[in-house]
Amino acid sequence: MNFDCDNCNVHITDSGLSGYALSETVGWIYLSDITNNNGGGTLSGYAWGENMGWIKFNPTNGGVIINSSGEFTGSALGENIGWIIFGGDYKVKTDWRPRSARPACNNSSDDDGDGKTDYPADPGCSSLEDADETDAVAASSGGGGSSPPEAFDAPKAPESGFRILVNNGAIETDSRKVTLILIGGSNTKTVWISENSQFPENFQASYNSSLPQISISFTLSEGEGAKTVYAKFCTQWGRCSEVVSDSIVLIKGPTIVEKITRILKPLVPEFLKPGPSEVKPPEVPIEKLVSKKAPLAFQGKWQLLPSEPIREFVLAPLPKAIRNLAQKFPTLEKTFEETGIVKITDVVKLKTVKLTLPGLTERVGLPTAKVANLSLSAKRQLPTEIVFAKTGGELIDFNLALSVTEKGEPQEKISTISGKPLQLVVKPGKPVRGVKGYVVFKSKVSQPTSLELPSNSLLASVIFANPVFAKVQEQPVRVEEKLVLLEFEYTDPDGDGIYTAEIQAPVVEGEYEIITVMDFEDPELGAKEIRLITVVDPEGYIYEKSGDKETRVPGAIVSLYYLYLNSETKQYELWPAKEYQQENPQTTDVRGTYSFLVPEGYYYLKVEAPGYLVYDGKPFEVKEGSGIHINIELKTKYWWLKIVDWKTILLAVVIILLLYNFYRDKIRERLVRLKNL
Amino acid sequence: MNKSKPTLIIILILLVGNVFFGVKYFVVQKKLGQTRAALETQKTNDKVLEFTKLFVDEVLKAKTEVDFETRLKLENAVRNLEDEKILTQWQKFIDSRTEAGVQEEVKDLLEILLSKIKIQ
Repeated sequence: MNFDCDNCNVHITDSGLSGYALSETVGWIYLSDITNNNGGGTLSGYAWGENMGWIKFNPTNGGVIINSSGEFTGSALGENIGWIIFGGDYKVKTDWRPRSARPACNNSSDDDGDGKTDYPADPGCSSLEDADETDAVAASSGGGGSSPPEAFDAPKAPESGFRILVNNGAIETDSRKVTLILIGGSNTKTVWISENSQFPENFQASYNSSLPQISISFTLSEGEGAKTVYAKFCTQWGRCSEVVSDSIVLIKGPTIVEKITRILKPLVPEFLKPGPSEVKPPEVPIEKLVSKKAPLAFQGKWQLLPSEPIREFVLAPLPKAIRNLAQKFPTLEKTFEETGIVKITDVVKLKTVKLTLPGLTERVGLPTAKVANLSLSAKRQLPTEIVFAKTGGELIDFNLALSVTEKGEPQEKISTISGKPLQLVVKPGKPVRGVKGYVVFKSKVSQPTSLELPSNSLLASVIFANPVFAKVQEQPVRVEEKLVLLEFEYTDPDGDGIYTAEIQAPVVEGEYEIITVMDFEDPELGAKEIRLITVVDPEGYIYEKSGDKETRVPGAIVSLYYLYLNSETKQYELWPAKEYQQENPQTTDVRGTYSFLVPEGYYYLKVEAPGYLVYDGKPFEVKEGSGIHINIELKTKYWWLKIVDWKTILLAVVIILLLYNFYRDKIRERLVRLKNL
Repeated sequence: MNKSKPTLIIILILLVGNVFFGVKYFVVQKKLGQTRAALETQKTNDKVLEFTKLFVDEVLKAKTEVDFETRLKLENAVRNLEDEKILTQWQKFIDSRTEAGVQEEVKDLLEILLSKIKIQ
């Protein structure tokens, strides 16, 4: 157990011990304020070891005493480690001595009974080492002494009083070595200096009283912090002044790196210097911020989230437009129920789920027909304020898809092929002054359709009898604000209230909007607009692949065959394109493009081009009438020639010639050998 | 003349090296700054989410009074976010005196918490 380690700092006074002892096996032992000293060297009380628990210094049958030589003797008892013996080969020794072993002027007792104790309080003491406290005056008066009268004079104070200044009164220093300025009186002979007001080190410096002050060097004790230096000024007869002091804060001196940094700091540009560090306000303990009593919000009495708006939101029914749709189409309603689409929050499911519904033509039992040829009753059945798109001389209905917008509103959508004719049909609900249409560019990429709603005939769309697409026009379509590609008029030549228009689909692929504006005669109704999203797909093309590149093939003959179900043979026949205002077969132009807009059925494509192998495609099904625009790759007749280029052929020829040369050499050698034999 | 040539070359190489490493240093410093910022955002996100979870679990889902220990934990968590706006809103929530008021403050608090989460 080491009482003299670097950070032990053990200090013994007449009343107790302080500091730490260090054991290499059990660690630190805390001595401060626990172990008591009775002044006579007998220790009592407890010390605390971090790993050994309590250590009793005055146990039964034991005890620790500091003897007159300052050595620890006896034994202490640790609750976990048993007896600790002081003495033997390894000694613990202190410079503190029991009172009985100290001189009379340093034993904390009034030996001469004059009410004054020890040096310097007792005038009978000339120093701490003085073994007699008896007053010299009393002694001289009694027995006659040899001391002169001035021996009993107190030290004379200078005008400014006795003073000590550390580093001329500086507040802090980074060096342990300091300069003390001492200002004493005219009869000052010695100065006691110490960091302890009791002056235990007995350090004295001689004082030259002919000078107003003297300076001496002094080394402060180790460790940072406030240091106080005490001084008392004494005459040659040992009479001393009151103790004076001065304090200074010892701070850690700069390291070499810090010194270099200090030198270089002015050279560093401003922008590279770190910003000022934030001064944080002193932290208040969290326990003080949180009250013991729970605030009202935490008492569990209230509903923290409003239940009514949540209930309204969660249980709100489907939007009216979608409900109308479901009511008109029982199968859709049933599907909604089975898949749990009953609330407004379920609308989002429609964006991911694709529903396939049976065609309505079968249900309603109405044939596909041209608008002009429809009977009066069929025309009456035609739903109002819905735009229908047809092509192929009104014989092909476009696949009308339903998409749900971000706002949960249903939207019409069709797909066509660039540049193809498009017939638009609309029946206003009330008499109109005119119907106008606009083709507006929307985006380059089309949005996905959420709900496919087949309508393979115009009349199949009776599900839209309740107009859900027409909206009151809030502001007119302004050509200058939108990218309006085409402006056209709907006409009603036969006056049956059904307006038609024929336009060409835009050539550039992308998503467009056909806005139909109905200008009602009734001023109260104003104008209504219907928006039809039109996705324009590019035409199909015929190409030949060379490496990673595609080369379009002009002059290729593309023939479309369809499965003629009415014939007895049920074989594929050339599709009668003329009935649908188109051509079949088609000859590709320089762009190698072709396309067909066809009604539903089974089809296959055949492509012939000079210098290429004939392409005979596999049959495929077209549902609900849409465009055929597949990109087809043709293979050249001599495709294998492309695998080997002229360099490979040349290399092969060289290798063959070499091999032939070797072969001939061998034959020659054999012949020579035979001749020799 | 012969001696000065290699010296010149060495000086040139050192100069080029200095410029190269100097540029490299600034580029790396910039990247370091970006990474630190990203890390800080991530840390903030984590802390906000942690507090939000604690708030939902211990306060919104609480059936009885929230005990002192939990309130201490919440107070520590909210202060640990080091966000003045959240702390102010939290204080408003705690100081609410009516049920309608507390509901408003809860909504605002949740809104602020969610707005603090940054998605990169």
